[in-house]
Amino acid sequence: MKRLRKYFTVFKINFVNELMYSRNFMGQILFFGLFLFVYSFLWRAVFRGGEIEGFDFVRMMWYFMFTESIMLSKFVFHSEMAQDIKTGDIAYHLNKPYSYLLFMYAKYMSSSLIRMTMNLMFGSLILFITLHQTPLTPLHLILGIISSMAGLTINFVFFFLIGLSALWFEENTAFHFIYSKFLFTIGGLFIPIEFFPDWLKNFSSRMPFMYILNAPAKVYINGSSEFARVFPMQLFHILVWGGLIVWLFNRGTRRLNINGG
Amino acid sequence: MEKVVEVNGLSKSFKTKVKRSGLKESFKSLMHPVYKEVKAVQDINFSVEKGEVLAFIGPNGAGKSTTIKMMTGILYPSAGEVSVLGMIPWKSRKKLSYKIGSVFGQKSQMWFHLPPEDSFELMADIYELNKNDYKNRLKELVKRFQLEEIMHQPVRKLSLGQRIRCEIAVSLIHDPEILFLDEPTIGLDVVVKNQIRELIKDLNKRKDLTVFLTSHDVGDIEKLCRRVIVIDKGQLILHSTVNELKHDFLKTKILSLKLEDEYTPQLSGVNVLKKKGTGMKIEVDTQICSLQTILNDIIKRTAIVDMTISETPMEEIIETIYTGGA
Repeated sequence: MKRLRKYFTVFKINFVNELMYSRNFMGQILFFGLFLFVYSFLWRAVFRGGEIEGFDFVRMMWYFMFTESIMLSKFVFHSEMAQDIKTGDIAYHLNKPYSYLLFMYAKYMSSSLIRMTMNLMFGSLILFITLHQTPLTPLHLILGIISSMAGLTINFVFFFLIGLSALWFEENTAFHFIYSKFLFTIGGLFIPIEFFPDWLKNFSSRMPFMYILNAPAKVYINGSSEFARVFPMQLFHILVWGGLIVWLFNRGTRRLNINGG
Repeated sequence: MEKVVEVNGLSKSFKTKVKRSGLKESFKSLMHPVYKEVKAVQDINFSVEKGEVLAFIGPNGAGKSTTIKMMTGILYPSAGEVSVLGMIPWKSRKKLSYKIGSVFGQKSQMWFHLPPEDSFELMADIYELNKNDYKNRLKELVKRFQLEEIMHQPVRKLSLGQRIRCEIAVSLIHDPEILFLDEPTIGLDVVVKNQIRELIKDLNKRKDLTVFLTSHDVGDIEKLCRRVIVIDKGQLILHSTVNELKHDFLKTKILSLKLEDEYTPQLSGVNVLKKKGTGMKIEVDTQICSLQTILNDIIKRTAIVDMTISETPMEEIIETIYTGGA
């Protein structure tokens, strides 16, 4: 337990640290509100009172609010990590008795969860006021939060992978650019992947990206049946991709010889 | 004396890509990259005794950081052996990290926006201290480092001196046996520098704490260390006590004189550094010309109104070693 307590303390201290930047949240929330406002016009025009693949205007707006809440809550750390690798500063983490990976995960989850909570509260409030309808129930909310945390964990793995790529590539910002575009498209940020043609839907469901945004958003809307379907897949991706970063990181610490001197 | 660090034949080399300027060369390098081998550390040997304060110095890029990183298990060596507290650092990195502490003057381990208390709490959990041990240790460190008044202020509001005091204190929270200090007094004013030095000295005496110090500040070395190791271009170029270093390299004395009449020395080994009227500053190489000889020569020609004799500053000695004047 003592071995895990250190990561809870990192989580707690980072949480307090994040609260010091509370003004930054305000800017993000305003940005989020603007997004909801603009997209409400687009989707109202698209649906015109009709339904597409089980989504009507109300469900679509809630879907978009959930995906965007997760998207905007991700704590971006890969550039800081890449910088640590390039300058050799990662050494200051490695000479302490903790796992760098878990340290970063605790920090990332703490920052991301605080942002996600703010986004969800604000977004839900706006949609309640404007739409007077919600697919959200207390159970949906609990399962949705669990699925969102799993989604954020998959995203962490990819951010870590991008940060770690600094060991092999001097310039790695392109990887983040490509990754974020995957989230925008086959991750289902703006459009649910259910709207895609079958071949693209099949392709997307085999990729991890939809389990970061699309899957948790649908759990918030559809509840336990969706959760039972997607959560095992989320765990699968966490294990597979997580295993890959553990393996790469262990190899990478030897590679650090080059950059750390 | 018990040896806590033993380094034998330690070497570290790595490959680095050779980059030439120009578009054509860049394309060439893309297709056929050329690498060169850089020898960061070459066959160095030394040991550190328990309770010793050892200075490990060298110019920038000499291989100091690489050596420390190998001693703390962060880097794997290309050849050689290292034993720190009976452990091979790169094989027992985590286990060793419970027994060593480190302070890097240019890299903070404190949370910038939070009070030091939070960083202490985090470190206590990182080192898996139990509540009582932590409380007792914290109480002791707060008292010794005089942190009472700053424990609840955000780190960003602390002066550099206060922050460094916190940095050293937090690195001692788990009661390490060896403390690695990398430029602990960098950027500090003279008063704070002396405070930090006194604290380190005190810890070394009371706790028998072994200190491995790298610094560009000669004052740190003079005031804290008994032994000094100089490394340059990855090789150990000098290994001696601070007293021996002074003795071996203090070949010259500086004489500041106020005389009754003007005087021009004719003796070999005597060099005039400055002259203004009857006042002058001369450098005497005592291996060529003894102090007695030069003083006799002066008295023979004129009378001495005032005189001070000083030694070559330690800084110049170090510079002489770095530039190969040894």
